[in-house]
Amino acid sequence: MTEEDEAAFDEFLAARTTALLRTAVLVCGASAHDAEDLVQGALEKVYRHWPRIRHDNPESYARRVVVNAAISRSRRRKVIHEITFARPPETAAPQFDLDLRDALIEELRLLPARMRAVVVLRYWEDLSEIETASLLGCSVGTVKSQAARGLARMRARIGALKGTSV
Amino acid sequence: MNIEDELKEAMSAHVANVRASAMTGQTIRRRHRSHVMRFRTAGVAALTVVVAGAFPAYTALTSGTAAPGLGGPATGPTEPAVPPESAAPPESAAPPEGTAGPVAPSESPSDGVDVATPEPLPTETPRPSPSDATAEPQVSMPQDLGDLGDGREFGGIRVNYLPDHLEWGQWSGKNGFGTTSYTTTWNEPGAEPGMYAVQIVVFEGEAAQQMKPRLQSYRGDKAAKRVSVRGADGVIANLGEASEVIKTDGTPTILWFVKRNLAVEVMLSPVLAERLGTQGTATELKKIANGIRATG
Repeated sequence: MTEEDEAAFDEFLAARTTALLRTAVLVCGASAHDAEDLVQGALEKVYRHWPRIRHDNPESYARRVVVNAAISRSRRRKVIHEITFARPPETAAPQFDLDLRDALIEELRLLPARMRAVVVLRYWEDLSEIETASLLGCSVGTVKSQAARGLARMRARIGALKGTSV
Repeated sequence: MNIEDELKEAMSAHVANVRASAMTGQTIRRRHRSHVMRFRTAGVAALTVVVAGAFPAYTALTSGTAAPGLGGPATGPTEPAVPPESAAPPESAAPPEGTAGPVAPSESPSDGVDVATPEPLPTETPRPSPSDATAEPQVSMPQDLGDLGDGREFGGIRVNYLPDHLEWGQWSGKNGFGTTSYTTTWNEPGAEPGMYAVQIVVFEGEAAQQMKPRLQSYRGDKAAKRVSVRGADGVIANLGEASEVIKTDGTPTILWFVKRNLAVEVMLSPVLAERLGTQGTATELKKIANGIRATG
């Protein structure tokens, strides 16, 4: 790898690592520390292929590697119950119901891995249905149905919490 | 505020304090150097040493039970630092080649499925180009059981039926589902990254003992379907991430005992199951199960 490649990789890391780490935390439902190990492993793959991919949307490539690794890790059934979900930040959020937020995150954590990935990519990353389908390697119809089911569970949880339908 | 907005706010708040470590670049390069060193060390002799059990990383990782939780000991900092996002990591401090610490544990999840895996499963990455295949032959794949040929005979069983066109996933894991358990997968040609079509786990000895109460539990669950596999009690169920029976989604799974102290679990990927439909999935699971024979 040339010096220019190395410098470009550093720039990429500085710009994108935190966002990838946050996505990994949400998709695999793990703590930041656990997600960091996952993201580092994924970025090592990016680094390995960097000279080839740096001019061809490396962000998309990296996100794809991270999300698939996060899904794969979440699916490892033997360990999933061991996962300690990171606590929400302790910063004040006066305009939002903390109980409701906790409930939503808890419900997100309970979704099947792939459904959770769809929800995160659609509503956190703001990817389109087509982009989400492309990243996950599934049909747009699957993205639609998974997103709808995920949101339905969220609504049910909030409805139960508020005692009303949402 | 609608549910989408509330969810977005919740997710934003949840990860607001998550920041990448300033050491990320250094850690990645250290992992990469270790990967290269491992590759060179394994090189041509990889198959021989793995079969002989002499590859230190493999023996160390397969000989014991991994600690619970995600990931092994990290090679990087244990606590993420919180640098400004614009701060470039100091790469000049990277250690010289050869000083990197043990790597395989840090890259091996502790659930055991991939514990002996120097790297995450290859299906986690985008499909490599032909040039990648040339550069990294098989090193990224766990080969706990060695070369299985067509993959259909392993762990004391022979798989005589699989859905058409499936190819062996070219990897195998040992002890990931309990001591003396074995697993491998089959994929569709050209499958998207992260996909598998069929996974089979063989539970032998101690691992099989642990499956007895689970089989009974599943068979008692209303959401599961009791079946008979060549006269043996079995069950078909959708299993969730904690191996619990769930009504929808999950991984379609059939479990039964091929013989005393030898249980087998066959899983179809949710993606394939969606394509086959509920009845088609159950039919395929039963066909695969009925085609499995003990070899010992």
